[in-house]
Amino acid sequence: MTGWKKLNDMTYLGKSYTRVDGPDKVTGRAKYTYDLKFPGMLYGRILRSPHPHAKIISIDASRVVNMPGVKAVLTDIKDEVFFVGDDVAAVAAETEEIANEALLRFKVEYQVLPFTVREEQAMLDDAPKVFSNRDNNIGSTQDRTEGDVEKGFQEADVVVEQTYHINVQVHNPLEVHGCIVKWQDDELYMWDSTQAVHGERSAMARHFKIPENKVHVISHHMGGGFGSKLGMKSFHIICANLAKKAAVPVKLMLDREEQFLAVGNRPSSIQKIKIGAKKDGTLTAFQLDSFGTAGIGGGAGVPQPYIYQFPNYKVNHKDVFINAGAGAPMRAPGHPQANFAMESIMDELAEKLGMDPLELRIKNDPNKTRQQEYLIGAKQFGWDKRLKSGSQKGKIVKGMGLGSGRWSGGGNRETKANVNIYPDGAVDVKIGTQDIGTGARTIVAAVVAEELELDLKDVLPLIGKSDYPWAPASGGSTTTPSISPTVKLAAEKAKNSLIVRVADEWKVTPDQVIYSKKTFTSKDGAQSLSWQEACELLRAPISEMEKWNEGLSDSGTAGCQFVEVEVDKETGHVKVTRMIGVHDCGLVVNMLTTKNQIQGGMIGEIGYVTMENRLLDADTGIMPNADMENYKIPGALEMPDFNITMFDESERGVIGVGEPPAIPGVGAIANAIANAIGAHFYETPITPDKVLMAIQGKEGKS
Amino acid sequence: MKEFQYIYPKNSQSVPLILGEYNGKALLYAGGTDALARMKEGINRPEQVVNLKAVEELNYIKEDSDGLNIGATTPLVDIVNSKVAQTYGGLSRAVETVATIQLRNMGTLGGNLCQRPRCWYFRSRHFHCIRKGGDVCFAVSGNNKYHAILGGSSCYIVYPSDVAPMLITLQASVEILGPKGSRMVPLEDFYILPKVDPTRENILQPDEIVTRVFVPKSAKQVKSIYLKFRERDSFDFAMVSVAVSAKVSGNKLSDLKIAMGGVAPVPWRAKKAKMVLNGNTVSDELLKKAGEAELENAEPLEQNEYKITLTKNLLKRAVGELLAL
Repeated sequence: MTGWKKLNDMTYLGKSYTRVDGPDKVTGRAKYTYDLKFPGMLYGRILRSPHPHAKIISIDASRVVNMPGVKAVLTDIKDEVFFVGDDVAAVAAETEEIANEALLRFKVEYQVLPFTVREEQAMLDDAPKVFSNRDNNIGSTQDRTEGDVEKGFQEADVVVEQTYHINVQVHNPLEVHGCIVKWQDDELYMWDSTQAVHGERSAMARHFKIPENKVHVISHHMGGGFGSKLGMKSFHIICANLAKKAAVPVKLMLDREEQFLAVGNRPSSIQKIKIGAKKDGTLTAFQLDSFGTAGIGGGAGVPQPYIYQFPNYKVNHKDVFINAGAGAPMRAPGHPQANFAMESIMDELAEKLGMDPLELRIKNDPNKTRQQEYLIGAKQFGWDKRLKSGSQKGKIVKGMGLGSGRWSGGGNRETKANVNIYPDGAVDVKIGTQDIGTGARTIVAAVVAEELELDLKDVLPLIGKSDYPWAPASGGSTTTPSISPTVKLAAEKAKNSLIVRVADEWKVTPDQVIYSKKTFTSKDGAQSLSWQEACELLRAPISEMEKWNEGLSDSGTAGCQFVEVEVDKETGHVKVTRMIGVHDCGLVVNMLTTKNQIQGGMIGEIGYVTMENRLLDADTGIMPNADMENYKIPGALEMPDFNITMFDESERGVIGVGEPPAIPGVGAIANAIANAIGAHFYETPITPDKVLMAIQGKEGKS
Repeated sequence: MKEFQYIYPKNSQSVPLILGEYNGKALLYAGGTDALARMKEGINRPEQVVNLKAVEELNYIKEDSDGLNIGATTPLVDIVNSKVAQTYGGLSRAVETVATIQLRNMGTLGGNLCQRPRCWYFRSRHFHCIRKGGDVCFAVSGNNKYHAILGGSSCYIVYPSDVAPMLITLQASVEILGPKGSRMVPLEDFYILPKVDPTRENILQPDEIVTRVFVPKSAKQVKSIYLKFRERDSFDFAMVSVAVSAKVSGNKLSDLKIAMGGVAPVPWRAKKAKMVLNGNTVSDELLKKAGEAELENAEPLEQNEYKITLTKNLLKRAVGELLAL
C-alpha cells in the first residue's frame, strides 16, 4: 500500500472537476426512483391519521376493496396512532388517482385520546401521556459535569444567563421519500431513494426474515436526504407488504405533506444557559438545562458546551415526547442547535465584557486549526469594519457575526471496493455506496482514475446497489473518507496485477516494470506497451477487492463562518449579503463539489435561522404549514455572495465535509442580525415579525 | 383528485349557462395556478371543470378612448410585458410582483382577482372552517401570524391579490357576465367582508364570471405605485402591501387613493389615512398621523401585532416613493 501522491502531483484530487453524471442529471436521463416504472406496477398510498393520538377501533375497507383498479389493501398496520400523519392503512391501485380516491373510502373508527404538541406542556406531571406504558413524557436524559461549576461562577467577573428556543426544522430533500418493491420468487428487489443501500438491505432482510443475500436494494440516483433517508421506515415495509399481496411491483412515493409529517425532522431545543467569564475574557463556567423534542422519537440532545473551553461545566438534558412525527438525523445532528445558543450567548458575553466577539473566541478556542481559520476569515471578510451593535442610523442597517463548528468525519473500516480491468482496456469500480447528491459517484471514478493515471471518463463508477461491496450509509460525513481510501487501495491492487501480467509477458520481475501515464515501460527502456496493449494481454478481467485501511484518511474538522446581513428596520426584513466560510477536510477529493457542498450547508443555515419553522396547531396537533408555500426555504433571491476557502491540511488524508458547513453560520447569522439592530434574539427562526417587534421594543425602551 | 368532466365552452356567453346548469358546482379553470392546487388538496372536488382557456375572446389587452380593457383570461405575464399596460401607472409593476415568472406565465388576470384565500386552515382538508361552510375560524386561537388585523369578524383571511389593490386605486372596474347579460362594477365594490358572507370573497353569483377589467384613462393622469412586502423575496404572497395613487404637486397629494393587501379579508381602502393626507403637504409627522388613524381600530390576533407597525411603515414608504416618482 502506498499513500496519496503529493497534492501537486495529482491530476484530480485537490482540483475541481465536474460531475460524471452532471449531463445525465440536467438532461433528465438520470432516472431517480420517482421516475421508474415497471410493467404491471401498482401505485401505493398510505392512509394517515388525522388525529394526534388515537386508538384505532376498526377499519372498514369494504368500499375500498370493491373499487375498480384497487389490487391490495392493508388494514392491519397498527392499532394506535401517535401523531397526525401516522400510518393507518394502505392501498395499492392501478393508478395514483385511484389510490388517492381509495384513501377517501376507508371508514376508520378512532377512539380519540388526549395529546400534547408543546414541549413545555408535555413535561408537566398532568400532561397527556404520549405513550401509555410510560410514567411521563420524559425520554432519555443526559447529565455531564466537569470541574466545579459553582466555583467557576464564583471566579467569574461577568455572568450572562439566557434561554434559547430553537424550533423544529424539516429535511425537505428535493426528491421526497419513496421506493418500488418487487418480489421475485422469494427475493426482494427494492429501488429506493435512500442514503443506505446496505443498511436497508439488512433491515428489510431482518424484518421479512429472509437471507440478506436475497434482498437487493438499488439507488441509482437520489434527490437528497440530509439524514432523513438513512434507514428503513414504515413506508418501506408497507410497500413490500402491498407488493407481496398484489404479487406485482408496487411504487410508493410519499408526497410533500407526508414528508413534513412522517419521515423525520431536526428536533427542537430549549436551552437555559448560564455562562461566566473573567474580565479578560477567560471562560470560567457553563451551565445548561435543556430539553427538546424529536416528537415520538429521541435524540434532541445538544453537544454543549460547544467549541469553547470551559474548565467547569454542568449540563443536563431531557428528551421530551410529544405527539408529532419522530425526529431523524439531520445534517450535523445537535450541532446547529448548540451553535445557535452558544454563539448567541458568547456575543452577549463579549458585549458585557466590552470585548470584540472574535477576540473572545480566539481566547477560548482550543483548536489550533480553527485559530488559523479565524484569522484567514476575518481578514477576507473585513471583520475590523464591524460596527458597535445598534450604532447605525437609517432604514437599512448592516451587521456582522461569526460562528464556529466542529465535526468528526472519519472513515468506516468495513468498507470494501472492487476494481476491474478488462481485456479491452475498460475499467470499472464497484462499491455499494450511494450518491445522495454530493458527488460520490464522481469521486469514486476520480480516485480510480488518479491511481491508474487514466482519464476520468475512462473509469465507469458502479455504485448504488447493495449487491456491490459493502459501504456505509451516507451519513455523519463518513462517505468520502470511507470510499476514497478503499477505492484507491482496490485500484492500486488491480494496477499491480496488471503490472505482474506485463512482467510475465516480458519475462522480468514486476519491479522491472514502470507504469506511468497509460504506458508500461521496462526499466531498461527496451520494452513498452500502451494501457490498451497491456490489457489485451489479459485472458480474463483483473478483479481486485480491497478493504479500507488506515493512513489515507483522518477524522476531525474545524471551520468558521463570517456573515454580513442587511436589516430593513421598517419591515424587519433580513438579507444575508455575504457569507465567508473557512473550512478544512484534509485532502480535498474534489474542490468543486466540496465547495458546492459547503455552499449548500450555508444555504441551509440561512433557511434554518431566518425562515424554516415546523408549526403544530395547539388545538388539533395538525401542522398548518406542511407545504412549500408556508414552510419557507430560501430561493435564488435569498442567496448572498459566497466565498469559501479550504484550509489546506491535505497531509491528513481524506475527511468528510458533509455536516461541518451546516453549523457555524447558524449563530453567525443570528449575531449579525443582533449586531445590525442592537437587540439579541432568543428564538428561531428570526423572521421579519420578530425583528420588527425587537426593533420596536428597543425603541420603546430607549 | 376525483375524476371530472372537462367542459370546453364555445364562447363567454355560454359559461354562465354551464355554471347554471350545474348549480354553480362546476369549477372554473383558466390558468389553474389556484384551482389545480385546491383540487389536489381536495378543497374542491368538482364533477365538472370548465376550461376558460378555451374562450379565446377573453384573452386580450386593448386600449380605447376611455381607457384600458383587459380580458379576464389574459395571462399576467402579458400585462407585465404590454407596452400599453405599462402606461397605466403602477399596474404592470404590480402584476410583476405576483408569485414567480412560472406562475405569471400561467395565471390570468381574472383568476388573480377571483383567487381563493391562502389561509392555511382554509387550504387544508383537515379543517372544516367557516369559509368552507363550517362553524369556526381556526385562526382565531391558532397560528395567525399571517392573518387579518382589519375587517376580520367571523373569519380572518387576508385577501392575497397583488393586482386588486393597485387596480382599485386606479379606479378600475370589472365586467361581470351572468345568464341575463353583463354589468360593470367598480372593483372596489367587488369584494365583500366576512360579516357579509364568510364563505365567499366577492359578489359573484354562482352563475356569474368576470370577463373584463377596465382601467379608466384617468390612471394616466395620476402617479401610482404598489409596494409589496414579502417575507421571502424569491416567492411569497404579501405580508402587507400598499397601493397608492394621487395627483402630486410638490409635496401635496390630491385625489389620493390607498388600498392595502395582506391586512384584511378584502383589499383594504385606507380611507382614514386618506382623510389625513389628502390635500395636505406631506411630512413625516403627517404620515405618522395617517398611519395611526388607519390602524387605530386594528384588532391584531395573538401573533400578528407586528402587522400594525409594518403597515404604518409601508404606508409611509409608499407615499414617500410616490412623491419621488
